[in-house]
Amino acid sequence: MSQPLNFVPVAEFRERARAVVSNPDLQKSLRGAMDFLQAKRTVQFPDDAELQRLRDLGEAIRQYSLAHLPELLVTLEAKLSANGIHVHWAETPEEANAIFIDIAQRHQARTVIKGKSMVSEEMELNHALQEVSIDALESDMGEYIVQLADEKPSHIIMPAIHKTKAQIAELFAERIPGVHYTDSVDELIQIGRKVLREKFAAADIGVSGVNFMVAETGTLCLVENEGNGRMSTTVPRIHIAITGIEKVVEKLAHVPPLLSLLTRSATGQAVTTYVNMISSPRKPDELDGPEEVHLILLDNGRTQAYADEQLRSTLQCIRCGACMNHCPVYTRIGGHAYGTTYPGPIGKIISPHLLGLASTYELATASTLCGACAEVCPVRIPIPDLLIRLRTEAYTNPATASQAVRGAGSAYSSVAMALWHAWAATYRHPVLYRAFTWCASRFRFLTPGKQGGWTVNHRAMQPARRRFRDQLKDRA
Amino acid sequence: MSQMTARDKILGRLRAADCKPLPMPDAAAFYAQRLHEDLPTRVERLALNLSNAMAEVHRTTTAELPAALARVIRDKSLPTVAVGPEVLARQSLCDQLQNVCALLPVTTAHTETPALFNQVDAGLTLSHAAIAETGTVVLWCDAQSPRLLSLVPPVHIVVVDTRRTFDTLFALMHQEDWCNGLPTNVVLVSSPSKTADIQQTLAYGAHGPKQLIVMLVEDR
Repeated sequence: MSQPLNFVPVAEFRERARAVVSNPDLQKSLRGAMDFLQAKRTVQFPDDAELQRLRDLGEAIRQYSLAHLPELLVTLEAKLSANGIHVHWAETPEEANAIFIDIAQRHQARTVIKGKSMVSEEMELNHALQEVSIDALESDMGEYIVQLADEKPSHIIMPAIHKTKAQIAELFAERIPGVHYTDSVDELIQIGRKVLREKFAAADIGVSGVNFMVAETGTLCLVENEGNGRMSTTVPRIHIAITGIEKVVEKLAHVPPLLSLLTRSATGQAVTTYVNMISSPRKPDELDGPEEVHLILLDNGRTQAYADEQLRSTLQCIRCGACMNHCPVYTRIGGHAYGTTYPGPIGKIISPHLLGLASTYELATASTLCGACAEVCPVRIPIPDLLIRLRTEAYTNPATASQAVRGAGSAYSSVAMALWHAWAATYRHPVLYRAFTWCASRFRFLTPGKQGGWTVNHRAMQPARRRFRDQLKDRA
Repeated sequence: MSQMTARDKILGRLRAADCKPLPMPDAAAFYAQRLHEDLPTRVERLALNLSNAMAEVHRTTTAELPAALARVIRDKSLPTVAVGPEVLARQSLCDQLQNVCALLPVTTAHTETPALFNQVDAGLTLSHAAIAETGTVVLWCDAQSPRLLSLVPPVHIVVVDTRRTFDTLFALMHQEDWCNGLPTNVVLVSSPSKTADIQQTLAYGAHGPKQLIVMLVEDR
């Protein structure tokens, strides 16, 4: 399979992280953006008791939906089909792209306009379409900016959060024909609006993600502020929605609490400008709306997370991004360093299922386990526990590792494991421990000056001249 | 030869996990604990939340609505206003509005789209209901109420019958049994179109209307 244009291998995670940390401009804008989003969220939850009750409910709804996921998907499919919406299933991104391209080619589609969809990023849909000469244009302002710059989103809610106003002004002047440099945000947005308007009117297919799918009514719910999601799902003749299999809830009554948690946690809004609930294609007597609506349900490793009781909670996620907004690591390294579609804490726990642990295990180690993510997660995903679990999976002997995660044992080293076993034995047996500390203090001059990762940022460690127990004995 | 489809394989893997069923979460119990306000208070909350979200709120009565709308259209200089079947059905209202602007009737499929995109100054729609908690207007898009009218023109004017103001989205769904069936499209609108995608700076009129004008109709 060919690699997309700006694919960044996860393997260079450390290198990219270091580059961001040593860039003071980027540090300042990341800090500013995260402070902004944190403050906005805090204002939305003045009553902690209410927040906790709402989180209880949100967590219960997501856990219930997952516990009943296969039945709910079957009900959803039946209801959507009865409403006239075509449902497609894809195990892999390649399958999902093939389904999309098949629909597009059946209708001789040349142009596609996209509302925001992170699952389409997972699929590298734009790239796949490009290969069959179909133009895909992003219409969310942030996504449009990122696409103009040949980059990828660095945040799941605010894709262009890594860019300053001045950078965007230069980008627009350089890449959009006939545009002069302006750093007025209002003018920049109006330029984007004008360019994209023409594209909406001309596009053959509109694409969107989905925030919640309702099984009992066969309804797709989308939240947004700009109106590009409504445009993409209303103006073109065909609407294709793309989402992961976990996004379903059973009852319409489950939507209001999740919606409230989502928008308040994500951008600190009581509700977004638009909440768009789509239940069918245009009916014969209706005047607008797409004639055909398709839904592509993507697995892409989600069933792997589902199979394990602990890892299943990863799928509770409603993609609000609060975990990254509050993550001290994300705040310093930004979204691109991760090299995965989903950055930040949620990216660390979902990416191993999407891409395998072999290429992603380092992400789980880039955490202090401070727990800020779990504290703000609106559906209470125990992210630190999952990080520890994924570390364990990565570092255990592949011969004895559970089969829960593809690539388990990737980080295993027999030397490291032998050292840990020796360390554990020493600390378990007092005689061994005493002998070890006695030797360590006597032969402290043998301690190496370079101690792997430790001495990158710290002075070398050296055992004390006298053991702690000996010092204590002296005092007594 | 029988071949497993992606659907069968995905569902097969999900079923193999053999999850224990969980009790149905009780959203109603959560909302029952919330504040329930009387209608006048709900309407005040609706108006306040909408104004705070940069919507322009005008308060009027059924009898005064045509004059109030005409005044808004004149003051804002909106020479062409697009309307759908729901508004066209109100003959006397249309007659009065035609004194201050040209009404573009949107009555046939797609033929108006280029005009809507290029020539129309405002879209005028009715609404289904309103939600006090979030300052939200509910659009019920069906044959009588085209979807693009509230989206494409630079100004969206919407008429709200304040008797239909609910505490929360949950209350509205619950009292009207939305679970028994929804129209093609329901849209909740809570402000003009906006974005903060450039350096967290709020800008209005991203892709949808730059202005949202809400006519609150209340007969005391």
